[in-house]
Amino acid sequence: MTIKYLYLDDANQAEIRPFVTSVMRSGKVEIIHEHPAKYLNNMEEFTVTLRQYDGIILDWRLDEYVQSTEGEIRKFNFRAGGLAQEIHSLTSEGSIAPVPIVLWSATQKFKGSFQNDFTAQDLFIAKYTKEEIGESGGQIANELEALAKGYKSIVEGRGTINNLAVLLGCKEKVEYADVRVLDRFSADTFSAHEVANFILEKIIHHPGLLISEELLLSRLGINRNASPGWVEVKKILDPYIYKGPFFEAWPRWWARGIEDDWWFSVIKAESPLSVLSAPERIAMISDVTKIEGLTAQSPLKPGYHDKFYTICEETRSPLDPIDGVIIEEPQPEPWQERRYISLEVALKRRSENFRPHRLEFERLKAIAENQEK
Amino acid sequence: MTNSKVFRENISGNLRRIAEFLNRKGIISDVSPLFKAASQCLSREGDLWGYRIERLIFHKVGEVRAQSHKISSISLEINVDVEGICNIAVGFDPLTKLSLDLTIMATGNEEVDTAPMSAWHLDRHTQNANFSHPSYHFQFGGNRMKYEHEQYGLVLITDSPRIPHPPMDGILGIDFAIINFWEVEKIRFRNEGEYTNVLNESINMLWKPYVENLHNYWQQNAQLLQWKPHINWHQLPPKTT
Repeated sequence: MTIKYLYLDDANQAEIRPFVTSVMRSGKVEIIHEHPAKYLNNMEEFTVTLRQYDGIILDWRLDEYVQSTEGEIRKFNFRAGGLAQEIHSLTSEGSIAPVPIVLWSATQKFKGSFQNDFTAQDLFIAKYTKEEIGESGGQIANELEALAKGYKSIVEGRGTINNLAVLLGCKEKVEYADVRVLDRFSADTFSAHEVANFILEKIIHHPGLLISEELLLSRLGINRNASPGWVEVKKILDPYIYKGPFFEAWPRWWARGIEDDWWFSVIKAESPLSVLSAPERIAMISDVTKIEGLTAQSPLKPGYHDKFYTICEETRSPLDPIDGVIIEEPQPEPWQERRYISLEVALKRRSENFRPHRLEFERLKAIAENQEK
Repeated sequence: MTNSKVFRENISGNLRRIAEFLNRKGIISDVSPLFKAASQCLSREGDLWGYRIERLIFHKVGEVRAQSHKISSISLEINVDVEGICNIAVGFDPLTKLSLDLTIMATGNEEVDTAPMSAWHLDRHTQNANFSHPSYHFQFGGNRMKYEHEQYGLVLITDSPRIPHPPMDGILGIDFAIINFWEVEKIRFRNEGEYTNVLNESINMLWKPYVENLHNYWQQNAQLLQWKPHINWHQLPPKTT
């Protein structure tokens, strides 16, 4: 059955249609747009409507434009944050099943009031700007589908929530996760939204227990563009793929599965992969798996090292941590890794999105002074 | 069994404590390798404890004089693979496995493609080798110094000598690096209780049995010791009577 989202936006049809079409093109999700004013002072009808959907999409500002049907002028009295809050309350009362609440917004509006409002950020499981939606409708459709399915699996798996390993799909391999992750929901009661938010933000989006394909390539030392054999390697790594909530749209691998189980038991390596150079890793992989067509990744820049482990967040290329600096970000959880940008990006201030962590300032200054000499 | 779990929890806790401490002191910016090791130790089962610290990098090293090259600064990297017996009985080797590497890398040499580096390797050796391998020994070079480009210049790197040294786990290895590469006034934090408490636990777990073992060489009936002192200090003639 196709996943159905209700989309509330006060902008006019002509403005909205391109986004909706872009996302619906894949056929994975169906999006039904309505003007929020329909539910003005009528939360009962809203509740009944929402029960028929697998998720809801809200525009950040719902209170700007009026709906003038049948000569009546009506303006919605909520912003997305307020309405989302209301939906969460309805969910906890049991009036509606927990569903993903997604935010779509035009960038300017988004950057203003939303980004300063940290409490509002936790209300939504995903946020997209309308530019993103126009450019990558297919991916967003995948994500909306995965979010709706993920919520359903969390609701179904509620009985096992005191051991998150069941839901995350690592019950047989609890060592892949971290005890603080597995026990996260063992006490108190938690809403499905809190569980979903934790899994998506703290486990899927931040590297540590799980790694993305970019990080996987970095750790194996493989240059994807020059390696036709990569597809074959990916196939044999299938046992280590993450199969928990949201896996459909965010492919991830269990880091300890790859680095401990596969590397030591299947490849039968003696040293951890992190201490070997990319060509050494490739040689071992080809030797054991007999997969051909693998090319080692070379460093971003001459003089950089090739014991890749992380990536440069700005350029997305594999990076040996020795050639990078950690980025400024909230203190990671114990199971999360630090994220990096390359020294080059840091020194030349090439990134608008990532700044070096304060702990790296002194070192960067010393390097910069040395380069001037 | 439960005791082993508590033992591992303690070791894991110490790794996390030292990680948070050194991060706070600005000595290591990325302490995730220590958190990973802590988590690894916690998820083990059976009678052994153990962990791997992979690529723990120190950038802000004190001033270092180099004889061979003009360098502006260095970075250090520590790799540890250690395993031992939980609640070890008195008179036995507390470890079953040890490999600790300290790599010293010159940084900020923009002109050259390959930065000069060197490495020290601390090993636990099982016997039956052609050459004398004291059970715990330091060695200059090791696998970390096998350059692919083979540009060794006029420096000759050999496997020998192997220098006896007390065993070190991750925490002692980190302290070894700190004490050797930072100026005394920059590491006054080593006197802080939070640091010394953690360090003392490793010292008592690994060095006390090691030193007692050497001391036992001069005790009566030394020939009956299970853990032979001459294995640790290979120049000591084995006692037979």
